[in-house]
Amino acid sequence: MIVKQLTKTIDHRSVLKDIEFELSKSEIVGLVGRNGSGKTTLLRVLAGQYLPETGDITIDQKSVFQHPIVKQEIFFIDEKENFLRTYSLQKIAKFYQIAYPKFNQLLFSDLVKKHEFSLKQNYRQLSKGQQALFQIILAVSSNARYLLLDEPFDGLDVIVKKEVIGLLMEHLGEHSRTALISSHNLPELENLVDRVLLLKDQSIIKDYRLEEMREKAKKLQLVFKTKKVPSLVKENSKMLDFQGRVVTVVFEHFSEELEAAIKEFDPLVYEELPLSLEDLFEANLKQHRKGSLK
Amino acid sequence: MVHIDKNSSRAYYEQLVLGIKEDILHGILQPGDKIPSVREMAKQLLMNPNTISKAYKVLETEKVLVTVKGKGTFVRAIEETPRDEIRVQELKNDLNELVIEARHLQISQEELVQWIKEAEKSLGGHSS
Repeated sequence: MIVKQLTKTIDHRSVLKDIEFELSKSEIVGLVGRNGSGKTTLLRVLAGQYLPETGDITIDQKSVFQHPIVKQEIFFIDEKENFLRTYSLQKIAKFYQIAYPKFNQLLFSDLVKKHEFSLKQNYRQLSKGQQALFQIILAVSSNARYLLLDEPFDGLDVIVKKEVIGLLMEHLGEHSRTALISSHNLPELENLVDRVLLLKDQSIIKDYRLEEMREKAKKLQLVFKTKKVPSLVKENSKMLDFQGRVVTVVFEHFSEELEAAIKEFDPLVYEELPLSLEDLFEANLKQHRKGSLK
Repeated sequence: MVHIDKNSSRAYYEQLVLGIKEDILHGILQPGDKIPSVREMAKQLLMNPNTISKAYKVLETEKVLVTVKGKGTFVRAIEETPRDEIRVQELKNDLNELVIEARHLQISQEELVQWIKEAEKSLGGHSS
């Protein structure tokens, strides 16, 4: 899937600006950003619920807007605005069978039985956890190639969360399916995704490959003799924390040269800390207060 | 069982590779044992199947695992696999660096040897 120059304005307010990225086969990608950064809007545009002002979304070189049939390859359930509430699970399954011609009825029946759903139940009678689980069952059964999941683990208890993640991981690997998962739960996302797209100021400002990032980036805690942080550090890193003399920074492109250069300043403390997705999130998205480094 | 330490700076797939090797040395996994498929492992560990498949591929090239088409992936007997001299050399280089660091920290040779023995022992004793 290739997304090019998407722009979306809602009520004269720009929500998405020049969004560009690609999703490859079998990739699991996280979509991360602060509240109100436009994650849900982006998913809605990708799913064809919103029409963008400019830009295009193509799958196998076919535009989603010119060839609506391509949408059979995209699965999305809107968390806030869906029509499922009043229908029975049976009925909902019927809708999805029609919308997704490759719907795997066998898998669906199997998973529904395994997780002890009664198809006669209405969707609204399900608990939040059960609703989430049922949505994932629909997603993997749809056999769509692109699963767009909006906060799929939000507000679930540990047990159902593990079921939802397990189900997703078990079935994503097959048929080279691709998933785009928006989430605020970064520690959780970290295990699951190959890549993370960071949304800020209506655009995607970062596209991390987590494995590469773990190799290249470093989080350091440093204490220098003077209270002044060397400009070398300021210029090459993003600051997470600064208290007294102790400064915690993230270098996205660390190198041996940088290490040597920092050690030239003869820091009192030079300690490597484990770098998490949360650190990258904070380093890129935190508003820096007055008096801090940047 | 294999587990992933998020605080480690080592890549997840490398941790998985090491974890499986450790399980083999501990006898938790034995030659001929079938290991869970990528899909089962992804479900068990709640991890990205791509990461798991990458780890399995590494283990296959290193001749720790062998995949039989249509049957699954199995643990190879260590004796069956010839020593990979390139990797042996790499390991030796790593060890050299460790010895340099150890000297700096005033760790005696006896201490180092003692550590190696302890590590061997915790892996089940039998050293070849």
